[in-house]
Amino acid sequence: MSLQDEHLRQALKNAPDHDLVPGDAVRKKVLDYAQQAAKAKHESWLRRCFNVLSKWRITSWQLVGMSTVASVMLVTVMLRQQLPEESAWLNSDAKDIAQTEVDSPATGSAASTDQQEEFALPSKEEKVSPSAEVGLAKRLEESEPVERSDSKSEKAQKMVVAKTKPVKKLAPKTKKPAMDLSDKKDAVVAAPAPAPESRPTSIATVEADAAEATVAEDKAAVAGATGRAVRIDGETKPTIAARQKTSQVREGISGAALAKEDIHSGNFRILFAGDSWPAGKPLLDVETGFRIALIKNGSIKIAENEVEAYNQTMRDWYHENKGLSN
Amino acid sequence: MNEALSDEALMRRFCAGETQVFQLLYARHEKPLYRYVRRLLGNGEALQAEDVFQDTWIKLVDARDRWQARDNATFKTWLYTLAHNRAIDVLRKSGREISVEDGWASDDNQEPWQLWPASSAAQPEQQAFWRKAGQQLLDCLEGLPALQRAAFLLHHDDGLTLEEIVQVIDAEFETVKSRLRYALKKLRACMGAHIKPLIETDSSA
Repeated sequence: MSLQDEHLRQALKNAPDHDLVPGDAVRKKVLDYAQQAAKAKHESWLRRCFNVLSKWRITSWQLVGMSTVASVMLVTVMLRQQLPEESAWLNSDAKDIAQTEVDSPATGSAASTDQQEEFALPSKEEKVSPSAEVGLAKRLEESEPVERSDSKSEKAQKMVVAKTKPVKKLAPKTKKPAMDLSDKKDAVVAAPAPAPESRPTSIATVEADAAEATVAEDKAAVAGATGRAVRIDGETKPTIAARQKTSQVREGISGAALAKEDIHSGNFRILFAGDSWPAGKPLLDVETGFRIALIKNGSIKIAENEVEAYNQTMRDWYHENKGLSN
Repeated sequence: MNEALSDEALMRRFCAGETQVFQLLYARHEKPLYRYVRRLLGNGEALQAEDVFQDTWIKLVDARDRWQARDNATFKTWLYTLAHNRAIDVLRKSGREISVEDGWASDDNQEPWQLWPASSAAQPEQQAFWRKAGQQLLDCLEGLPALQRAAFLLHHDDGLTLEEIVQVIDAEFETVKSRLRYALKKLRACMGAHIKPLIETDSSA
């Protein structure tokens, strides 16, 4: 028996319902649905994410959590934006003060040894090798004889000369071993760090600083006569030798001139001419925030009547340039 | 048919986001599919025909990502499968599905359609004859079980092969074959009983 019947097929073809179609509403509904479905599928992922987020109900706990995370991130960013130099400067002073208090807690005279030596003329007990000083002085005399004078005009002229000198000319001298390494270590460690960076002291650091001190000494030998700091690697750093030379120059000069030199070299301080500093009182000037440098009898060659002029000049500069010293 | 305009190609383009091609697919299958649904549901569930038809297309749109054109599963097969399953659900819920054989007499020797005029006849009388025969066939289909009705309609009206019918109604090949055989036997008997007087009347006239 065949499974195909042409007569029945023909009867179906001629049946009254052969041309029936669904209503227009059904057709429109199906076509619209297909069009919207295709559009929804190819919707951008961003819009889909937005739709998901708009449907997402945020609970109060989730809101609190997100707020906490945002606050922590904000505080972290603010802390990171704090000026590092400012904090380093303050930390450096705090370390100096702490060191001072540890060194002489009972005497009540809290001036640190470093600070005292800073204002003193070089002596035989100093850590810097005297042979190096002699060698540098000889070279200095040969190249550019400098007369020590109190005259302000001569000082200014020397400063101009020092400023116009190209620093790079001194660079080749850096390789010359001028000091014993052990001596340098002591000298560098003993010297207060004028730069704002506070680096951990290690053998490598000491050796690097010793080599740097060699450069600094050579430059200071030239610049020290003029009393100004040496620019090393684009940064003004008063060095040990520069300070020693500066101390020599300070002898007999006016307080105002000395203050200007210190300001120029970035050595901000207020001098204290009294016999002893009150125990427990921080070595910081209340008005300016500069550290207090104590002057003992014979430890600094500056007349006591010039101390006030020195301090006044320093304070005047502070008020004129408030904030720059920091 | 051009390969680019085959059902499968159009469906792939629709899945890729071309919404316009869906209108072509719909227009191509609108009438036969609706007719199949309408006849499968019968007069008892005729009011459900549009709902079943619409649900079929919506389900097709929703499931388009899962559809893949295969050699043995054409778009037409898939479309009719969706429609068939939805219509059977309606029939089951209505309780009108006839699952047992009816009491029609089976007489293989009776072949009244052999006296019928040729199907290609274009004369008005013959057209009227076939139109009556068509209506009679629809009445006869009402008495068939749903699966036999589906097998007959898919094979004779929609032109599906037996293999495709197997996929649509989800049955074994032999089962489909026997369903179709039963359907033909009953329809011939039904049609012969009704058409024979009509033929005789037309012949005497």
